Amino acid sequence: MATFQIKQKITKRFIFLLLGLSAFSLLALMFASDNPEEFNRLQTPILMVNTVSFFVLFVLVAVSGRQLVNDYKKNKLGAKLRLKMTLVFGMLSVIPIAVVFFFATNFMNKGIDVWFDAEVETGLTNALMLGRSALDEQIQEGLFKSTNMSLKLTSIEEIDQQLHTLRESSLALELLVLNRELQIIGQSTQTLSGLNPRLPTKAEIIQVDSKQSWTNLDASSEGAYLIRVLVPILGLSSNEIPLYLQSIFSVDPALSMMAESVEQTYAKYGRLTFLRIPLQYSYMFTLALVVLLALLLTIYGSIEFSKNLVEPIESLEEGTRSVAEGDLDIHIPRAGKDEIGILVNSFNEMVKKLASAQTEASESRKIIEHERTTLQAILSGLSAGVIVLDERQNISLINPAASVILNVDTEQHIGCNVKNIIKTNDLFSQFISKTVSKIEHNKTWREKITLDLADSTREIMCSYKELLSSTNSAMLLLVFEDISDFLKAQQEAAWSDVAKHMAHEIKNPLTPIQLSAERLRKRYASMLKADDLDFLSKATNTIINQVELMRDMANAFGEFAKDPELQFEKLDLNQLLNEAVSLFEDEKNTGYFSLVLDNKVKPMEGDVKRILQILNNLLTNAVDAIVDVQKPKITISTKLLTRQDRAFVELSVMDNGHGFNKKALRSAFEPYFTQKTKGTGLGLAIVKKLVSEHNGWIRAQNNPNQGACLTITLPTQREQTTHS
Amino acid sequence: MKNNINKIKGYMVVALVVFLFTTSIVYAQPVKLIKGESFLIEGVYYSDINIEFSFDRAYLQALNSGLVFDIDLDFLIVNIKPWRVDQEIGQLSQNYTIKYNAFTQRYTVLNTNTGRETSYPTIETTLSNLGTINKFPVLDDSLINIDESYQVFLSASIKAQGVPQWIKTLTFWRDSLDFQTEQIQWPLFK
Repeated sequence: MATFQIKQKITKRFIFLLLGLSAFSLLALMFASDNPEEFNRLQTPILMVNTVSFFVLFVLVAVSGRQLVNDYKKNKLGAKLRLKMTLVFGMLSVIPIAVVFFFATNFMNKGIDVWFDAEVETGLTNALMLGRSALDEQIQEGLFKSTNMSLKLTSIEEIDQQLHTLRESSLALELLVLNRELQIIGQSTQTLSGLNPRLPTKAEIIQVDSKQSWTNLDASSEGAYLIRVLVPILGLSSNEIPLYLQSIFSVDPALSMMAESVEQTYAKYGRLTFLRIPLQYSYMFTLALVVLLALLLTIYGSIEFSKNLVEPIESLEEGTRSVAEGDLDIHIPRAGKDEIGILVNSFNEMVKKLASAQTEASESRKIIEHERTTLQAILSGLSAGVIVLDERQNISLINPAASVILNVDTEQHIGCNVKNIIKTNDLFSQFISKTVSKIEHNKTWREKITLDLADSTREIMCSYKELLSSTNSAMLLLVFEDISDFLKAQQEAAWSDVAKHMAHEIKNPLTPIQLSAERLRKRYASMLKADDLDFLSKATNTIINQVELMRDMANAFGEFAKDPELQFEKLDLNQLLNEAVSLFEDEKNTGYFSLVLDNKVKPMEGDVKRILQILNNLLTNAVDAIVDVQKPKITISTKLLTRQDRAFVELSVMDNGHGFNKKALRSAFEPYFTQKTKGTGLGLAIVKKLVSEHNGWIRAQNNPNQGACLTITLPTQREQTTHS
Repeated sequence: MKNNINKIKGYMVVALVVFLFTTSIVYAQPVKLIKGESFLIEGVYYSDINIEFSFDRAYLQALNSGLVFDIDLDFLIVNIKPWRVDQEIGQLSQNYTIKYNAFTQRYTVLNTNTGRETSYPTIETTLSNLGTINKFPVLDDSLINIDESYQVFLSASIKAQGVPQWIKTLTFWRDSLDFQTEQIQWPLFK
C-alpha cells in the first residue's frame, strides 16, 4: 500500500514535470516564432516534448477513465458522483476548446492565405519584369558596344593589345576572341574583376551563327549581375573560319543590388508559396496538439479533482464500515480545512474516543475475567457446594462440589431458571425447591435440609446470602455441605460410646446375680419340698439364662464399641464362603444354600477372623429371614470387578424371605435397629463397620420378586494409606 | 478472438508490403547512380561517374519556386580483405547546390568544394552537365598496396534547403523532397 502511494506520487511529479516542460516549450515556441532560425531549431524538440506529454497524458486519462468506469460498474460509493463530475467538467471544457480550435484554425488559414494574396505575387512578378526591362537597356548597350568592337578588330596581329585597348574604352570586364572550336585567340580581362573566365558553349556559338549575336544576363555568387555578349568578328574571319568576340560587362552596382533584392524576395515568396500547404498543416498540427494537450489536461484534472473531492467521503464510508465491524484502529487522512475536512477530523476524534472506551472496557473485562477465574479456582477447590443465582433466579454458577453433592450436570443447568428446574424430580430439583421458597422470604438464612432418596436420606447444611455484584445487581449465593456422613459418624460414635458404657455397666453386676441365683438354689434345694424346689429351680434357671443373655448382649455391645486391630493376610474368599456355609448346613438347613462363586476371584488381602464374622452375620440374618418361608433359598455369589484400575470382589447374599420394609431399608445399618423379634440390632451395624475397616462398602436392597439382598464390595488389596 | 487478432495482424502486414511496393514503383527516383569507374593517371586515381537526374514535377516546381537543392556525392574507398574486416582507406564528398535565378531565368550550379559556379539556360542541360563527372580525383597511388583489392563506394543524396525539419516532421505523410540513393561500387583498379 505504501509502495503504491509512493509510485503514485512519483507518477504525479513526473506528469507535472512533463506538463511544465510542455508549457515552457510552448512559451519558448511562441517567443521563438519571431526568429525564424531559432523557431526552426526549437520547433522539432519542442514538438517532440509536447507529443510525449500528449501520449503520457492520453495514457493517464485512459487509465484513470477506465478505473472510474470500473468503479461505476461495481457501484462503488462515490463513483457515480465522480463520473458525473468528470463528464460535466469534460463537456464544459470540450465545447469552448472545440470552438476556439475551430475559429483559430480558420483565422490561421485565412491569415496564411492573405500572405499569398494573388496581388502580392503579381506585384513581385511585375517588379521582376521591370528589373529585367531596366537591365535590357544595359544589355542592348553591351551588344552595341560589342558589335562596334568586333568591327574595329581587323587584324589578328597584336590582338591582345587591341582587345586591351577596346576593353579600356568600353569599360568591359573581359574581352575574349575565340574560334568555333572554342579555342581562345585573344583575351583581355580586368585584373580586379575576380571573374572566372567562362567559355561559351557550342550551342551559344550556333545561336550566334544564326542570329549574329547572343546575349545573356548572368548572376555571380557574390550577387552581382554580368552581361555576357557574343558576336561574330566579321573583319577577322577568313578562309571561312569564323571568329567570335565574347564581351562581359558588369551591371550598374545599384541596379544590380536592386535586381538581387527583387530576385531574392521573389525566390523567398516562391519558397513560401511552395511551403504554404505544409505550413498550414504544421500550424494546424501544432495547434491541434496544444488543444488536445489542454483538453486531456482538463479531463485528467477533472478526474483528479472529482477523485480528491469524493475520496474523503469514500474514506469516511469505509471508516464507518470498519467501525461497525469493530475495527477501531482506523485513521482517515486529513482532507483539507473545508467542511469535509472538519467532518473527517470529527470522525477521527470519535473513533479515537470509541477505541479508548473499548480499551477500558476490555481492561475491565480482563480484570473481571481474571477475578472470575480466580473465584472459580477457589470454588473448585472448596468441598462445600456453591450455587450462584442472578436477580432473576437464573443459575449463573455451580461449583464442582455442588455438582457432586447434588449429582447434577453443571453445564446443563447454567443459565437455567430455577422454576424450570423445580419441575424435574431429582436430587437437585428437591434442593432447589426447598431453598427457593426460603430465598424469596429471607435475605440471609442457614438451615439443614433433608433430601429424600429412594433408599436413603441426605442431610444438607445450607447457607444463603443475597449479595450485590459489581454492577449493583443482586447476586444470590447458596453455600451448602453434605453432612449426612458426618451425622452418621456422629451417631455411630454416640452409639459406640453408649454401647461401651452399657457393656461395662451391665456386665459388672451379671456375675454376682448369676452366682447369687446359683447359691440360692444350692442352699435351699435340700430344705424345700418338691414343688417348691421345682419352682426355685425354674426361677434360678430363668435368672441364670437371662443373665447369660444379658452377657451376650453386653459382649455384642462391647464388640460394636471396640475398634478392632485388623490383621491383614492373604485369604481365599470362595474357600471361606464354602467353610462358612458348611457350618450352617445341618440337617435342618440342608438344601437352602446355593453357591455361585466366580473362579476369577483370587486370594485377597483381609482379616480372616473379621471376614468370617461378616459372613457369619450375613448368613445368620439370611437364615433368620427364611424361617417361615415355604421354599427357602439362600444364594451366595462372588464376582470379580475392576474399577479405575483396581480389583474388587463383590459378595452377594440373597434370600427369598420377606425383605426389608421401607424404614428398615433406610436404617438397616443403624445400630439397635432390627426387624427380628430377637437380636440386638447390631449385626448389620457391625458388618458395615468391619466392611468399612476393609475399605469396602455395603448396600442393602430388596429383590425384584421376593427377599432381600446384601452386597458387599471389598478391594482385593489394601490401600497404602490404610496400611500405613 | 485470438484468430481475429491474427487475421488483423495478417491484413496489416499485407497492407504494409503493398504500400511499400507501390510507393517504390510510383515515386521515381530523382537521382540514380548509373555507373562509376576509376583509372590511374600519373600516380593519382581518378573516377568517371555517370548520374541520372530525373526531376519530376514536384522537384521542378520546388526549384522554380526558389528552393535550393543540395546534391552530395559521398565516396568511400575500402581495402577489401578476404576473411578479415575490411579497412576504410579514405572518404571524400563532393557537394553541389542547384538553384534557379528568376531574374536571369537560368539554373546555377555551384560546386561548394571548389567555389566554381556555372549557369545553364535549361534544367535539362543543367542536370545533364551535373550528371557527367569526369576525371574526379579520388586517391593518391601512394596510399594503396597494388597487391590488394580496393573498392570505391559511392552514394548520392539530394536535399531541399530552406524546408525546416519541423515542417518535414509534421508533413511526414507528404512526398519528401529529400532523397538518398543506394550505394554503388566499383573496383579502384582491375
